[in-house]
Amino acid sequence: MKCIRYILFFYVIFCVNSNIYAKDLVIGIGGDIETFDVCCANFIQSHHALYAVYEPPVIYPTIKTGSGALVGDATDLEGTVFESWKAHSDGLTYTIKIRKGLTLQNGKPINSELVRYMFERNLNTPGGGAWLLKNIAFVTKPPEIIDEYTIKLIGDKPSPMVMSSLYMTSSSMIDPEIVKEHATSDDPWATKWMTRNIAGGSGPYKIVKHIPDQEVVFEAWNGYMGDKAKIKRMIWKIIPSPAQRALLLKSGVIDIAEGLGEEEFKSLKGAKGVKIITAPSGNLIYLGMNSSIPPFNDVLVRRAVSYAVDYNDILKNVYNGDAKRLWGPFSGTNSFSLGDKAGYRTDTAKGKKLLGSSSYKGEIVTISIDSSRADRELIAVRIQSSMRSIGMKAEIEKLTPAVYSERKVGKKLQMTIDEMNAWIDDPNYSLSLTLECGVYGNYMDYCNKEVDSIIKNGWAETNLEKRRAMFERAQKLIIDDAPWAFIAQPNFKLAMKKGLGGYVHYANEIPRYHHYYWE
Amino acid sequence: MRIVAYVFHRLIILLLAVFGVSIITFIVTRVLPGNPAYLIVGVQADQSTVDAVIDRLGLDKPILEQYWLYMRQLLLGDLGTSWRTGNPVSFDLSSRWPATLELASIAMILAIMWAIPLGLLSSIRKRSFSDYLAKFLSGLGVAIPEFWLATLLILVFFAGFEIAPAPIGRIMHASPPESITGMYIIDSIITANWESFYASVAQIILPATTLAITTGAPLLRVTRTFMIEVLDSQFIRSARAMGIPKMSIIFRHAFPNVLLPVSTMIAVLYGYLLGGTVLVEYVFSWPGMGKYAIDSINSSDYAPVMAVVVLSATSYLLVYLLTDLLHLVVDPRTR
Repeated sequence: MKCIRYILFFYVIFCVNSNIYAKDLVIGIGGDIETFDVCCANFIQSHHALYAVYEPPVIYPTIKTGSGALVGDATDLEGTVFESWKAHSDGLTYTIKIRKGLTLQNGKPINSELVRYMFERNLNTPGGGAWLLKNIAFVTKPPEIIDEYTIKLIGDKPSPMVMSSLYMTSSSMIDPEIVKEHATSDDPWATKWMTRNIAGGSGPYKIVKHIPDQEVVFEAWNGYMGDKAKIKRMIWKIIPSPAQRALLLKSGVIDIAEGLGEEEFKSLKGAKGVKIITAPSGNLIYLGMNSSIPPFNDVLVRRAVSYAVDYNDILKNVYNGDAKRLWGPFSGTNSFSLGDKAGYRTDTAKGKKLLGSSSYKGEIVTISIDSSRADRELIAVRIQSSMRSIGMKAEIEKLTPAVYSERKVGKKLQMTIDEMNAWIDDPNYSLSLTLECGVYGNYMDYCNKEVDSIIKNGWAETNLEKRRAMFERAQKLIIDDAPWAFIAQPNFKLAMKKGLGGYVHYANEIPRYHHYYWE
Repeated sequence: MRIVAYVFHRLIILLLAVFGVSIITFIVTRVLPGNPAYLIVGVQADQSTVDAVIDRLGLDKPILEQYWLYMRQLLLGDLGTSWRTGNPVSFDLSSRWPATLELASIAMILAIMWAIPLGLLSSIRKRSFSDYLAKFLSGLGVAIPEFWLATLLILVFFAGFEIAPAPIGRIMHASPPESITGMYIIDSIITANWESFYASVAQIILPATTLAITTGAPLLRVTRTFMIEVLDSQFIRSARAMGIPKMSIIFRHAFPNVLLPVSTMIAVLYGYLLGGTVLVEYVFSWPGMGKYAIDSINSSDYAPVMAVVVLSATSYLLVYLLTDLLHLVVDPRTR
């Protein structure tokens, strides 16, 4: 009898455990994967998939914060494919050692030749990879091969961000043979083929099924070089409606609901079996005022609006308290940020006075917003009302994503509510992306020669204290010029089933699914 | 012989109409603001990259040249490539068009099954319970927005009673059947894959019911109105006076006269459903043409927009052609 009891006991334990380990991870996502090409992924779902399927040569190491949350430490770098690297005294040259014994998912060894090809393809394809290498790392030539596992990378100018620029998916390991096999004379880097196919794969998961606009099935790759995926099968269900994703999470059909809006989080608060993970985010929400379109070519008008905005109302009623106030061009998580030591506080009387002494003549200004972003309209309505309180008339214009992008990039928007998340948490990087004179991402056409010179000199400055002083000055100048009204820094939020652990928050807010496990 | 000539004549008109639709759609998509190049290149780009993409897409060419190139491609059977999905449009449509066709057909069958009998019954028994019910349902079906009804059905049958499967696409808890027609229900019957059959039928019930309720309402109204008119006509009164049985009067003498407007209404509704039912597809995560079209419009993905519009127009016109041919059979006066 006792023996039967023991057998039954172990059988139950076995069943429970096997059930835990066999449990798939089902994730509800908003849209299909746009491209699998590492060089040219400009859409968020692609990056999510690419980090699962491919491996970049360096990553941010995982650390535990005081609150027990796991985060990717953006101040440090850990080699995955790269075993070590050494910066030479000229500030331009890096000798990089490649870890021995690594392979792609198809068994092809990862060596200098393969890494060199990654650089070569990135430099020759029109995507984020080329942009990062040329504009951030100042690398315009592929590295020299020293031996099978050593390369020498030489930049044109010194940059403190050569290695950190390689942590993006664009620097992932791919199989050159497969790419070359599908190259044509019109398309020598096989970008067409790569859009829908995987060249070797090097990440923790393999894609085993993809039904367009329905589902994507991943299976863990046992040969992965890092921590192997604890959940063996991951299924992405494409559910366009965020309200349905929230409902399906509540019903237990899916385990994670990605891309939810504030309304859905509100509906999930306190739901049985659901937890909402919150993490400080580097995402900046700002009201852009175009410095070359009247009346915002007058700095007094921009300052007046910055004083008029009711920041607390937006934090409380749009973000339900799940956001921090943004005070300047850097996120509060950036160690260079001045925080609330600088910036504008709501002061309608001051706003009115400034507007009165400005060149504003009572004309109606336009706040243009992307119609696909629900929170933008909520903010725009509040800003419209704040502007009315200082005597400024504004109308709201909703634009489809394509029209919005075209007009934004063309610097033709008079005012807009937009966001910015610098995937590399560095002041040089974020300013050179958005607030340097004439750059592509400077949508509000802001220009200050002193800020430009700080950005230019900042690339070569490796002394931390000197850099800090430089960027404090840059922040003060920008805040004074007020090209943006710095609104909020909403927390990153992700809704998932209770019992699912392992979420690690990275600066670029892209999840690495292999960390997840069932508790 | 005259029928063959008639069909040939109608097909020529159909081609001209599709040609006209293609010109209008092409001009509208190109003239409206929203250059896709800016979305394609993303944030980390420069003007030279944008220019290279514009050049690759041929958007810098004069509009007439762009149209000529598009038509030349189209005549060779190439619908172009979607920049958003990276696939040839024909490949994208090969999975989405059957999904819409399947949903539209099942919804239409369900709509016919409830709307026509109820329409007949309410016209025969005026001021009865069935008449009031028909009036109520037809009013409700026309007034209720599709997305609201879809959400309501999900909340009641999936979240509330837990008898409907989760509204996630075309199939759950089973693999799709081997693709023959692309329509899961038909393919699972052909391949005798009963697991897929049950799973795909279970998934389609709620979206098809939503559409059946909203599209059945106008059908019910048309059936009821025309049937009342016919039942009041002189020849029906004569038939009654001659002692012809009631059932025979309704189904042999009155109903065939209603078939003409009813079948026209069915054609209109079916054509509308085939164009893609965006909101229902969105709520039920149904990977059909409607959602594909809207995603493409939002991202100025011209080739899929053109293909969807041309395909919808062609299906609409083909449905009309088939209805007219059916009229030749059911109404001898039209021959």
